Amino acid sequence: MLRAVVLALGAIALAAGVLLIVMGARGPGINLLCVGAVIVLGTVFERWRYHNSAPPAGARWERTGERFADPTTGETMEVLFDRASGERRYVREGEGAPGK
Amino acid sequence: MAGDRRNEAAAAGAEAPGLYFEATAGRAGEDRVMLVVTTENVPGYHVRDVKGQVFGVVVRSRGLGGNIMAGLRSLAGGEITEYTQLLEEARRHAVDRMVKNASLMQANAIVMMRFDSAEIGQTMSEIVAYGTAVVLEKASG
Repeated sequence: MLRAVVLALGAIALAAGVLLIVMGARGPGINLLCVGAVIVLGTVFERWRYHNSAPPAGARWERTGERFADPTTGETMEVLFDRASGERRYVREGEGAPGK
Repeated sequence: MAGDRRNEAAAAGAEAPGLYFEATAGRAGEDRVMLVVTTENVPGYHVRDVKGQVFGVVVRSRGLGGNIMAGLRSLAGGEITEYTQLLEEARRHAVDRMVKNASLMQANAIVMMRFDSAEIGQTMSEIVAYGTAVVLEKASG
């Protein structure tokens, strides 16, 4: 919801910038256009989610018994571990059967 | 021999939820099961070898969009979910790195694990997970 509001604000700034340029106010128009573009691009391409790199080939995931509630989704997550690579992986409870 | 250790580990896992011991098929090098605890000792086990300190460090930040959303949300107060997400992701990232480093040191457990955190700039969060990498062995008797 809030993300949509921020995107809308950025889009409005973009549109207002274009409008100002068309109306002849080139300087302020370019400024507004840049601000709008930065807001929209910074929101759309934000990389906040942490993902483990691609699971190592041949990984054998074992349940660790570690569980926690994901604060974002509220879902119960569990942690799998691959002994060979030392990698950990987070999956929703019941997903990602050990050995896969 | 290795099978016996597996069975003991599996039994320990059944008695102590949260331990990283599972009744799973093993393979070479399977002594490297990983347990992470904040305590110094693990009941039923003793430390056979201390590998040394182990760290997992990460600095993460929200993007511009996330920071704008967090700023807007702070106007009304309450939980700033954007930054909760940031810290949760940073926690996972730091622990993963610490566990990987302990695994590289041939440890099967990390004891006395702690977190530390700091701020870099005004939008970047640094999380350090650290502890002592050890090799645990089931206590006899």
